[in-house]
Amino acid sequence: MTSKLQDLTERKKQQRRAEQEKEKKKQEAKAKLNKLLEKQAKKKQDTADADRQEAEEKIEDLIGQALNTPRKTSGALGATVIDQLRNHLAICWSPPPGAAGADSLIVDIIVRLNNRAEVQDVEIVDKARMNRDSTFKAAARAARRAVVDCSPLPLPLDNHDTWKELQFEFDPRFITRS
Amino acid sequence: MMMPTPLRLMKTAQMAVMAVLAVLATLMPMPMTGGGVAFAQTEKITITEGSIEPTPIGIADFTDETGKPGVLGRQVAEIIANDLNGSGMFRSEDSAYLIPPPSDPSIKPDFSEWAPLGVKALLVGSATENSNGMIQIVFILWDVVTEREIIAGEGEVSEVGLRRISHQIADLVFESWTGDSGYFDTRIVFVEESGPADKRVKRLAIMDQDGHNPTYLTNGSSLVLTPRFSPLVQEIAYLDYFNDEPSVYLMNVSTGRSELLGSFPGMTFAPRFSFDGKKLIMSLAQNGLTDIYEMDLATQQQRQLTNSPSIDTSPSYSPDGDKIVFNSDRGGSQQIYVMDSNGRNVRRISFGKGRYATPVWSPRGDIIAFTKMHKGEFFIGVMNTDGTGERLLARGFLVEAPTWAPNGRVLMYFKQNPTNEDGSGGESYLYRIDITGFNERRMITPSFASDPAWSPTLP
Repeated sequence: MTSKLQDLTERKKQQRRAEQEKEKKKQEAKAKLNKLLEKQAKKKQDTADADRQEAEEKIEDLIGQALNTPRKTSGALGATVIDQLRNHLAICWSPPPGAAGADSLIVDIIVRLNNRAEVQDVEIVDKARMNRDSTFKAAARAARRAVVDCSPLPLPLDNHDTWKELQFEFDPRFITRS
Repeated sequence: MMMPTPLRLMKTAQMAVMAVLAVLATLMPMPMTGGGVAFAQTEKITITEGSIEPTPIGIADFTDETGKPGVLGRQVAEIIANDLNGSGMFRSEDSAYLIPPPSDPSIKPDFSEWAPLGVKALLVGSATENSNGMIQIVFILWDVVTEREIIAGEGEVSEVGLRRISHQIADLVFESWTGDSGYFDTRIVFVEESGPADKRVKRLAIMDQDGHNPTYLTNGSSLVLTPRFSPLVQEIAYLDYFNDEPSVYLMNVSTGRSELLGSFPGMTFAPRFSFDGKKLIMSLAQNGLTDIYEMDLATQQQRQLTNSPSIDTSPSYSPDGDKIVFNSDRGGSQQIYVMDSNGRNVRRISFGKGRYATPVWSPRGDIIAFTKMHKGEFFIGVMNTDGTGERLLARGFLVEAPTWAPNGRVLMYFKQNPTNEDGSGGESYLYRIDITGFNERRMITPSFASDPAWSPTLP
């Protein structure tokens, strides 16, 4: 009898623990949702800022056209910007680990960005291989996912012409080194 | 008898629309901006660093006829989550169950609900009973970040086939996301041990790779050892000690019928198939010498491959059949050697501290698994085929007999830890680990177990 009672007590304890665990998970999910809402609100603000900047650029263009002097553009991206891009994308890029032949799974993509440095379109350069090679396809999807997940990219917003279309090469050989 | 389950891939309307859009995108010129001249940045930026971590995935309970998660659908989701988590390549997000999945897989999920959980992949599906009493399964795997469909499929099974179709879906998720072949629709044959130590009964048993559906293949009247699966068909080679005489048998797993394979002078050990399933390789002890022999299964002709005064044993072919790895004490201590398949060009590849045994060539051909003994401890490890890059994955008082999953990503072995201080006692159980060295899991078996062997993917 005693042991049955103990069993019951133990079971009740377990139930309570399970309920507490469930409640904890609920709270965690809620917290995550709240975080997203905050993120969305911030994104809205960023979008408004970028819209204002776009409008300013348009005005600058109109003035430039009226005065017959085009808005200034700079040449290649500087080394600092490229380093920032690399560090930024390293966080978002998670290629399939241990995929056979990491050496041959280098993926080239072309990324098109709007003037807020948000990714608009990602093009896998080797489409033929994408269609015939399932391992490459998985690697290519991981590269596309990385740039979309990392959007907007850290780029100087006053220089859209220099980076509105960028080509990236994702080289997963670090997998075999680690 | 396992029946194949008809699982077919779908090209859904959404996928078709996306394909058309992709074609249109290539036909449409890029919009012009700024002063009217499109300027393409041609500099290529190389990304060489990323992170290696399991993909966080949301696996929604499959919905039933009411459009809500159902009992069968929950089972399906649990089986798939267990498979994927065990691979070390995925981490299913537990709190995913808090988010109601779309009432039908054809409805595109609201990704903004799932993204906060941090999941990159999302599997949704339905399991509904149709008028024939069969269960109709539909599933779609989504990329939560790009909101693209990765793979979709459907199938019809009886309730008995539910576990199997769930494993097949897990295989498709694994394959489409990682680009590697799956291994969830496979089985494990092993030696099941019961009874006291002095009256041990050892039977051959088989179970699904996740430990479900265990059944016995032999009745325990004789001692059985070292079962090995054919890499191509559902056949097992094993040793049966009838009247203390070891003989090699070949068993058809579907029919349970065994045949004696030739007769060998002396004692035979550890028969193992070649990757084309046409030959068996084993060691044979005769007149105090132990050498390696191969046997053509069609003609039953034997060929001696090594001829040395040392003990050469545990041979395993490379997947292309060109090389054989084995262990030998020819250099003084027990080490791993590789030779050409004709027995020539023998060279030692293990040079670490300790003794090495039971080398097994990975089905991918890139690495060799082994058992190592050093300072009174056992280890399961892997090394490159030239002996470099040794990594130890598991350790214990006794860990032995690694076997590869057919995709070469996961190893299974048995482990025994003593219960007494003098090193005696303790029982053996099966464990598995992925080759990154994480996720060691004990397999649930009906009793104690040893000598596991992984099957090829089921037909």
